[in-house]
Amino acid sequence: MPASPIAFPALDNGMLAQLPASLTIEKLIRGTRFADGSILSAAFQARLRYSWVLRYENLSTAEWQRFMDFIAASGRGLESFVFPDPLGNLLARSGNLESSVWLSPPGLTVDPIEDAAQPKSFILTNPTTEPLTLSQTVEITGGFRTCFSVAAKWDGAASFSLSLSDGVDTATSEATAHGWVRHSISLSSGSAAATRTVGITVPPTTQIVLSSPQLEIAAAPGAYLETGAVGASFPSAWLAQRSFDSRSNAPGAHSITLRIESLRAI
Amino acid sequence: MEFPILISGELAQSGAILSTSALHIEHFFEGYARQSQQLADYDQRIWQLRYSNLQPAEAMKLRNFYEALPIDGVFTFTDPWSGQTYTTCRLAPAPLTLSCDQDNRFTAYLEIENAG
Repeated sequence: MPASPIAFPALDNGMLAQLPASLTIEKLIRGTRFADGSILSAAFQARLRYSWVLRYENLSTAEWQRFMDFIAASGRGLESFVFPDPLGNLLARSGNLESSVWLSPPGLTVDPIEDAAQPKSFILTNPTTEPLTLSQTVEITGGFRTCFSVAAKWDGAASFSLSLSDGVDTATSEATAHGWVRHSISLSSGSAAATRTVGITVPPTTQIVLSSPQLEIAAAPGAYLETGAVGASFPSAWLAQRSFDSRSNAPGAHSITLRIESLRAI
Repeated sequence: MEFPILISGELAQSGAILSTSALHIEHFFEGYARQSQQLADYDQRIWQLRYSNLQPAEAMKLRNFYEALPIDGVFTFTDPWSGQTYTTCRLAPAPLTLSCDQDNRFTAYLEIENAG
């Protein structure tokens, strides 16, 4: 392993990928299929293989150089790196705010609540005299622009705040919940950033109903993707190709295609 | 788990392919005689589902379904051709492929099969 973690390069606008981008997810299962069509699977060996194809066009010379440096640092597939899925929700347990991956300070209660319009909603109650914050920290290495969003509501209007921090800089946003509305906040980070911490702060003696939290590499919130025990930040990804074709269409307009893979237990 | 329904209320889009097959047990005898026996209860169906111009939320539903379905997970799927409901469907060995274009529209490809 290299002395310092390898950071996937960010584009000048803080994004990780250009569109179009594609993702293939494959279930790798050792099993035996019988003549009647039934299958006996070896569950302990099952894996999900994620394969991204990211095509970059019209990279500036500075951006292109960052990709060249990244390819060299990663040993052309030899070393692994943290890869935040550009099409995924980087938070874990986005459908269960009671989960231990969400840090809840003493005094703040989180309870599931039925809501016909928004499944997997939770009511946060802060009976204390201090503001309390529900938070989650995600490993994201690199200088990306990230966006944290959550759907919130409260019938009589309730104020709350969102925060997004990379350990150096913190962005906060005051919001007021009425009907179901997705609220968001974004943060542009420096290249040394290694984590992002999202927070939902409930003021003293306040309740609020929340659902569908999402952290993504974007300037604005995208479609919500519910996650399970792990989010879409892959701690060990690698370059799946051994040769890299870089083309310069014009001075300062470079293009390159990267194929990235990672495995995850089912 | 419920197979994801599109915003249109449908399970599939045009361009989907249904493959059906019968299972035969064949015996060949001296003199080139052949005896073929078909398993009557065998009803193998594979649906190759191609989606285009999906909204991101629809694509994420498909992804969420594919990722969350356990290895031995089965689900109910209604054949778009016949309307017949199959209660023991599972993911075929093919991967789920998602592509997001410059207009933030997705194409997706997925194969499912009934358990025979």
